[in-house]
Amino acid sequence: MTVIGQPIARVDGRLKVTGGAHYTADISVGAVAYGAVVYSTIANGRIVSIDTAAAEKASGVLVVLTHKNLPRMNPQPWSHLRPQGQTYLPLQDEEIHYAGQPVALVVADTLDEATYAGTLIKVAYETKPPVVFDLRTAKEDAVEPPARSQAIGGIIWGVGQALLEQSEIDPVSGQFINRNYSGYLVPTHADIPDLDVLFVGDFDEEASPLGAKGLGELTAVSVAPAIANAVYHATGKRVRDLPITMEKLL
Amino acid sequence: MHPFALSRADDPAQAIAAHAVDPHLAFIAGGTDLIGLIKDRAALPERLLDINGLSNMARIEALPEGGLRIGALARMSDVAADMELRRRFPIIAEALLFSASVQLRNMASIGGNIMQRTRCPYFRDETDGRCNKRSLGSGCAALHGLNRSHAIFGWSESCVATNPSDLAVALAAMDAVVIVAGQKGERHIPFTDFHRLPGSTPERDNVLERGDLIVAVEVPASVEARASHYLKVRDRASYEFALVSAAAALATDGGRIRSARLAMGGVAHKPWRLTAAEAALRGISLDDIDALRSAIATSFTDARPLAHNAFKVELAHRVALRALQTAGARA
Repeated sequence: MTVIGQPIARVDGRLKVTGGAHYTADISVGAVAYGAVVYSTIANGRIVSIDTAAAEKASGVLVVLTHKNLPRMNPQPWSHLRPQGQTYLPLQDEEIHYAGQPVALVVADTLDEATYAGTLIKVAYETKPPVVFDLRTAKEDAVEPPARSQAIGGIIWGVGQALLEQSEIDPVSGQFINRNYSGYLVPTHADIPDLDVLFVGDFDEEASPLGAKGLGELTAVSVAPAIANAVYHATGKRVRDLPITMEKLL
Repeated sequence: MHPFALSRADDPAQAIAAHAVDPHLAFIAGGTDLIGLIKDRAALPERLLDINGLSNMARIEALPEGGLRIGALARMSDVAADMELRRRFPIIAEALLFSASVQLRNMASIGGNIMQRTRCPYFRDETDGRCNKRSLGSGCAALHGLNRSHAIFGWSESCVATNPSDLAVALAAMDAVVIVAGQKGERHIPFTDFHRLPGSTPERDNVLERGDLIVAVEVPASVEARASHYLKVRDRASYEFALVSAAAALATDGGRIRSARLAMGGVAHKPWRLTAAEAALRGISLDDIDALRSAIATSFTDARPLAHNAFKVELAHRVALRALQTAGARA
């Protein structure tokens, strides 16, 4: 154990700072093609037409795959052995289910050629109204949540992120100055109003054998945006850096 | 944690004598602030003298002219729950109930509350960064560091920290008196003279000397006391020091201010009494927001915000205004 307590030179340090280091993208493996995905610009609807002629003629392009020419794939049946199983398969039909859904895959000699050719594809969509989750009506179908406390914990975490928590670094020494809970503020009971948690929806057998996706941190995700929107609604001030502290509203 | 020896005092004169000759001895009552400071290595006493056993120091007594005498060993929760105090001085009950947490208030004494160190994150940093309060002459890291929570009034190059006591702000507004027993007998210190500004000796938060023991705090009767309010504004809803707080008390006459008391916390090394504003508020209608604001502003001509706390100037104006309006609604 002669390394303990000793300074150790980083073996790749010199290469990295002098530009000599080789990264994955620097490695050429010879006969390889590159793919670039083209994504839907609408959230709900269908593809009326897709024009790939210009892309197919572009430099270096080998093939352009869409729902018109990609062979049909076999849907994966749901199984406990594949709890992450996703039965949606891309490029199988003209239906658009979500924003950013793949609508074409361009294969070319280089990544640049594939990406450029993707910009030449012209897609016409028939747009349907987006499906908006409506809390007011969804509540009627709500079920008693089996992980209520976990969900509430995530929400409280989100409140801390939105309004309180940040590491403060002294600009001169570079040291953290709030290294413990006397200076790093997390919500107290008094910061948290009554919280109600409802789980909406059915048993989702495709998500996992439990019928749902993992919860964990999930409920924290939308809390800061929701609070920021509420602050905007109340004050007219759009705060884009967290936490939202009072000096940002004066 | 820094080791210390603990002994109990049962006689005030002996306690005072021991404290006078031993610079490494500290009195301990609730210990809610001192133990935290020891853990942060911001206080390193070698001997603690427990004064909880001293008799007649925990009482809350009504004074004949309408004032109150609060024993130094009275617990914050007991004082806040005292019916006579709540009736005569709602501002003091409010300041206590906005302080710390229930558990801390059950332990913490009134004397200890006003002895809380004026502080900032650098003062409490156990890694011993630059802080003149921790280590005299080491410099003030907050002056050009992070100073969002720091002073806008009365600071010096040697210290820009703020006093954390809510109670002290209310007591300053009410012209309370600190009763101190020392080697030369008892003396009465007006509350606004009790804490001091940092100047070139930031290690001293107050005017007490070795061998001084706070016996009680007396709050005199005043015409403004009943229409009083303590407003505390902080980053979270409980268990946090004020960014800015205001203690306001008013006597009114047909909706106009006859006399006002106004002090602020979170803005200076000591509770900050706004004497210019108090004079300017006389005769102003409580409905005249612009006039109230202009009167408050007369106490901000000497405000000197730091790099990160300029917002406190505007915040303090608004907090003072709201505290006055709430107090006025009780008149």
